[in-house]
Parts: sequence; C-alpha cells; structure tokens
Amino acid sequence: MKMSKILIVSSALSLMAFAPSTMAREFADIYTECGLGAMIASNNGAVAAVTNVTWDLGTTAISSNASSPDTCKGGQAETAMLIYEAYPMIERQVAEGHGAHLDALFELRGVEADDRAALTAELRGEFAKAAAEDGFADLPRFDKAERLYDAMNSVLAAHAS
Amino acid sequence: MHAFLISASMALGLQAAAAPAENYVAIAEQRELHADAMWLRLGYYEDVDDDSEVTTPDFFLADNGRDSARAELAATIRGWFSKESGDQHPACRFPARYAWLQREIGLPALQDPPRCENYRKWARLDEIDSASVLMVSGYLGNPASSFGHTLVKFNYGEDSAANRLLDMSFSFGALVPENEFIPLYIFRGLTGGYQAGFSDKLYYAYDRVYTHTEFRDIWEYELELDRGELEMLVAHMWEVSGMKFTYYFLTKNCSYRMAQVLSVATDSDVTPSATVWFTPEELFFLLQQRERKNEREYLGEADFRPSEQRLLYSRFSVLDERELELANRMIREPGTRLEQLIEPLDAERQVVLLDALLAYYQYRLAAVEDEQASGYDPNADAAAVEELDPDIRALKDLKQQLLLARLQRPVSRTQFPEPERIPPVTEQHAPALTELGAARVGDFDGGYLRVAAYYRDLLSDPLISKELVVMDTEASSYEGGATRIDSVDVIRVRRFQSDSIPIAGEDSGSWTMKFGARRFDPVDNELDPFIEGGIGRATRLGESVMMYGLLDGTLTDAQEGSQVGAVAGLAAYWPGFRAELRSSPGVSVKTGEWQPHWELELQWPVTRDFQLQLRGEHRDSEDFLRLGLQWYW
Repeated sequence: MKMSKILIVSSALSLMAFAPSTMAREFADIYTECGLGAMIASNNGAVAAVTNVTWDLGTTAISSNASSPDTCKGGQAETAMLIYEAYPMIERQVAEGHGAHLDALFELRGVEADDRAALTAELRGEFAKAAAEDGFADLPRFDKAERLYDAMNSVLAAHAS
Repeated sequence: MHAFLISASMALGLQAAAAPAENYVAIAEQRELHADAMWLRLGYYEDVDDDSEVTTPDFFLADNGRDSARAELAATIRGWFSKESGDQHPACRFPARYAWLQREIGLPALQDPPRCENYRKWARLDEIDSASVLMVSGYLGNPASSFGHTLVKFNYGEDSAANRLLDMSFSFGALVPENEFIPLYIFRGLTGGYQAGFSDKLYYAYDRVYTHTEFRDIWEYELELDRGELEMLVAHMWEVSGMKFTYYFLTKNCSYRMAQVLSVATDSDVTPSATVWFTPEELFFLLQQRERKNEREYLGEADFRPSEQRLLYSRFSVLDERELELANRMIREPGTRLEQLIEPLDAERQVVLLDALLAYYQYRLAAVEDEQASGYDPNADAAAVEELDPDIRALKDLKQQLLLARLQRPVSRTQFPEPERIPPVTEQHAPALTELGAARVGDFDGGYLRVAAYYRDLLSDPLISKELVVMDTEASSYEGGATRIDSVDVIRVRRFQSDSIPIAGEDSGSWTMKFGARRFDPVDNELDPFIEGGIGRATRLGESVMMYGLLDGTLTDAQEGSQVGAVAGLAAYWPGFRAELRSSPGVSVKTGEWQPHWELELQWPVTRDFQLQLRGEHRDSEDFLRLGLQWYW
C-alpha cells in the first residue's frame, strides 16, 4: 500500500514536472507574458517607411532570454514570435510545402530533418482547415499567426504521441 | 593574444594576495590607461578629454563617467571588487571592459565570482561560430535609405538559410517619434536632434523588413576574426546594446557606429574621419583599405541575398509563354475563376503557376500587411480591420483563393533558379569621384576638374538600372578665358525599370530627377538653379544593353532656360567598356524655340577605381568634348 502511494505520488509529480514544457501555451499568453507585444512597435505614419530607424532599443525578452518567465523560454515562445513576425513568408511556405522560414520553425521545435517532410504535409492539412474558415482573409496578422501557431502545435503534439 | 572568456577573466586571474582596488587603480593611473586607444573606444570617447558619445547614464559606473575617461576607468576597476551579485555586477554588465583590463593589469580572481547568467544565455558563446557585417542596398523610395544600411550578425550553427534567420543581429538607428513631420525629420536627422542606438533582434525581423517589405538586396560579408576578437565583439555588443547616442544622419550614423564596434573587437582603428559624411558602403571600402594598412584581413567574400522582388522574377522565369499569359490574365482580371484558368495545365505546372502567383500577391501585399500588423492589440475592436481599401481587399481575396487552391495540391518538384548574383559595392568603384581632363568647346581648348561627393551613375551599375549622384561639381578653364564653375548637380537620380519578364501590375515606369545649378547662357557667368524631371519607360535589348524614353521638363528662372521635351537613350555595360548615348531635345517655354541636345559618354575601366572617360555633348549650338581620368575614392 505504502509503495503504491509512493508510486502514484511520484508519477503525478513526474507528470507535473514535465507538463509545462510539453503543454502548448496559448498564443495570446505568449504575447502578453513574454514581451511579444513590447517588441511590436507601432510604425504607422509618414516615417513608417524609414526603416533605418529603431523603434526599440536593447535586449528583448525572447531574443535575449535575459529576463522572462521560465515558461517563455524554449521553442514555443520563439516559435510564436517567428510566426508572428514572418507570417506572410511562413504562410506561403506552408502552402508551397518548403522554405527557409518553415525550416527555421522546425529548427526551433527540435524537429529532425528526416521528420520534416511528413510534418509539413500534416501542417498543410491542419492549416488548410483554418484558412478555409469564413473571414480568414480579413483577419489581422495576429489572429492568422495564432491559427498557424495552433496548427503547428497540434501537428507536433500528434507527432510526439 | 585576445582570447579571454568572461569565466576565464574571473577564475583564472593572477593569483595575488587580496590587494585593494586602489592598488589597481594606481597601476592604471601610472600607465595612463585612461588614455589608451582601447579604453577610449570602449567608452566612446573621441579623445581623452572629450565627453563620451554615449548619452545613457547606465553606461557609466562613475557619476561623472560621461565627462571623464579617467574617472570611468577608475570606477570600472573598483567595480570588479563590487559587492553586487548576479547580473548587476559590473563584470556582468561590461564583460568587454574587464576582458581588456584583465589583459592590461591582471585583476585578481574573485572569491565568489558572479555567474552572469543573462550574459551567458544571450551570448551563447559555446554555439557562436563567426560574425558577419551586412550591406543592405540603397532604397530610392526613401531619402534616408538611399545610401543603404549596415547590420552586424552573429552566426550560429551550419550556414543554411534557416539557421541564418535565427542568428542574433544588430541594427543601429535613430529613435524617431511616431508620425514625425517629414521636413522636421530631415532637419533633426541632420542636426543631431535624435537619439539612436543598437537594437538586437533575430535576423528574421530584419529580413522581413529589408528583403520582403522594402525589396532590398543584401550582401553578407563574414568577418575574419579570431576567437578572441569574436568573443570581444559579442561582449562589447552586450555592453552597448540599449545604450543611446546622438544621431547624425551624415556622419555618426549606422555605419560609423558599426565601425566603432569593429574597432573594439579587433583592437585596431577602422573608424573613419567622418567630418562631412560617411555612407554605409564606405564602411566596406574603409575595411578594405585598413586591410592593407593593418596587414590583416577583415572581410571575407560577400554572399548575395536577393530581394523578394528578384526572387519573384525568378519564380516567373520558369513559366512558359502560355503560363505567363495565364498568370497575367489572373492579375489583370481579378474576377477570373482560378480553377477554370489553370485547368488546362497538368498537375505539376498548376502548382508552379500557383506558387508564382502566390509569391506575386504576397509581394503586392507586403507593405500593407506590415502596416496593419504593428501595434495590434488583440483586445481591440476588430471592426477597424474591416475598413480596408477596396483594392487591398480585392488583393487579399485573390490571395486567399490562391492560398486555398495551393494548400489542396502537393509540394512542387520544380526548382526555380537562384537570381543572378549582383556584385557587391566592393567589387564596384569607391563612392566619391575626382575627374581631371582636357576639354574642348567649339574652337577653344582647356581643361576641367570635376568632383562628386557620391557618384554612382548609370554606367556604374552592372544592371544599368539606377543612378544616384550627389554634389557633382564641374569647373573648367579655357584659353583666353577665366576658370569658372560650369555646373553643380546637387542631386541627380535616375531609375529605369527594364525587367525582361512582363508581369502585369508591376511598376514598369522609369523616372529621373535632377536639382542643381548650371550655366544656361554660355556667355554670361551666372549659374542658374534648376530642377528637372522626367517619366517614361525602359526596355532591355539583351543582357548588357538598355534603351529608354521619357518625357521630361526643366524649370529654371534663367532666360530661355525652362523647357519641355523628351529624352531617349541607349546604355550599355560590359566589364571592359560602358557607353551611353542620349538625345534630349526640348522646346523653350518662353520662346518656343527648338533646342536640340545630345550627349555621348564612353568609359574604359583601368582598375576598379580608375577609368578613362570620353564625353561629347552638343548643346546651345556648340559642341563640347572632354577626355578625362576618373579616380574613385
């Protein structure tokens, strides 16, 4: 009996220890908690096209890994930022089935090269469902990026299991 | 010689008795280390008695550190012995300073050295392989970007397109308020009205802006640094990221600050004497010059990273005539049913065509989507995004059709070719010009001198597509006459779109603009200001020849000066010979008189920075001939 309890408790603790690193974090949570929003500076206005300006200075939460919650470290937050920042390129590369940004996403999530073709095929299928929803074309980039992020997490989770 | 890691500098310092900090301050004082070139570089002091160029108080450990290189050095030495723990310890905030001090005066090992976790995680010293400096091409759509931009990048892992996107990269730029009035922006940029600094982002952030939104080419030069220099570069970028400087567009700009950073990393002076201007491309010429002077390499070969626009043309280049027509029909007639349009093609050619069109619509929407993305608040009312320009909505709808059609089809097997490599600036001539030669006008012989601050004319461009010249001034002296200035082109821009693949909707217009002063009346001595402009078309006649035709006009208050007319020309570029012939007749606005004008320009490059030029001109019923030697520097 005592051994059973020890086994149950230790199993539960083990699951809890691993859970944060394997559960998909909400895209919006990453946006607010990991400084994603702070990095997206508004660049409206006449000078917006002047890209030799800098809208923020210094090390940032995700790129620097300097000071952010533990749950912001690792591939998910970095994936979210890459998807948001490079969304048009990633959307097209998912549609085509290959590309440097797509490879970078897989790199961030630790996907081996041999597994990428199969995962890309699944990702295309998952993303196609989201893209086929009414109103998808009019969604702001944040929402589109969130759907692509969710599709990626779904595919990776299915692959892991 | 330069090999110091932060851990080594703390753990492997001289085994000395626990001497107080003041002993080391005294040693540094005795050796006048506060005047050492490296210390001045680390602190951004132009000279030992000057204030630091950094304006952020946090950059300094001494209260008067900004004003005194001596006080700051003393405070830095004392900081080594600080009771601060963790990442706030000065050794963690300024790893480059301490690496240098360790080499110079051998600071003792600390009993309880700080781990500097933030710096370690950011620096990833166990993963970094090399560093690069990147030249971003000029962008004529924006005056502030016309001369290009520079970035520095740390390289991790194998050299692949995917890995490059995840490299830590640095850009130096001004902090400009939102919605800044353009004239004020120009004034403040020129006069030090802005603060500026280095921002660190993963490379994909800069790639998005420069490659995919502004369609600028990039050349990446790997830096020839040994391990110690590489780590010094990393350490110093950590120190200086987030610190502010006063920004001067012409002199203390992105390239100047990058040169200062490289001077710290290499412990050699690669900073220019930028008293009037220093354009981004000059950094690369300067590094080449200093290679000869300092007898070492700085730059490796340049890898070309083409713009999204070049990649788009490359995709269209694999379409045959029929497929190109189908693509253009889709672009011209947005109501076309996509599936019906591509149905006659086999499955593979359908996906090739869809890939090309998807790339086209991403390219068209790039700027729009970039503006919409920034500053978005997920909690804001989404109704705002409904109010889209109808034309943009149409583009988005078309792209959505393409996206869904493409996602239903398999991955393409067709490879599209890499765009042709465009030579970097360092394989073209240096940016400034001095020209000296003999001249004849009518029956009079003489000589001329020409100087230009920035000279990249049409025949400097291997693609014969653009010209940007600043302060092109010519003076001449003829027998029996005085020496006089003939013309000053303050700025001269020509932009020719002559791509060989006709893509519907692509901007195929060409334009020119010139502002300056010249002698409209060959007899009087007055230079009259003028402004000229033209719009028209250009087309390729093979790889090396371009033909153009524009309607143009000149506005001046000189008597009989203003005119309207046309210009037609042929330009050819071969490695050993370049030529341009242009005819620009016009009608005087005042008198209605016809004024013929033609020019011929022939160039023979001798070396990269020397060439012979022969120019002939017929204007105002006179013939001008000039034969000169051009020196680019």
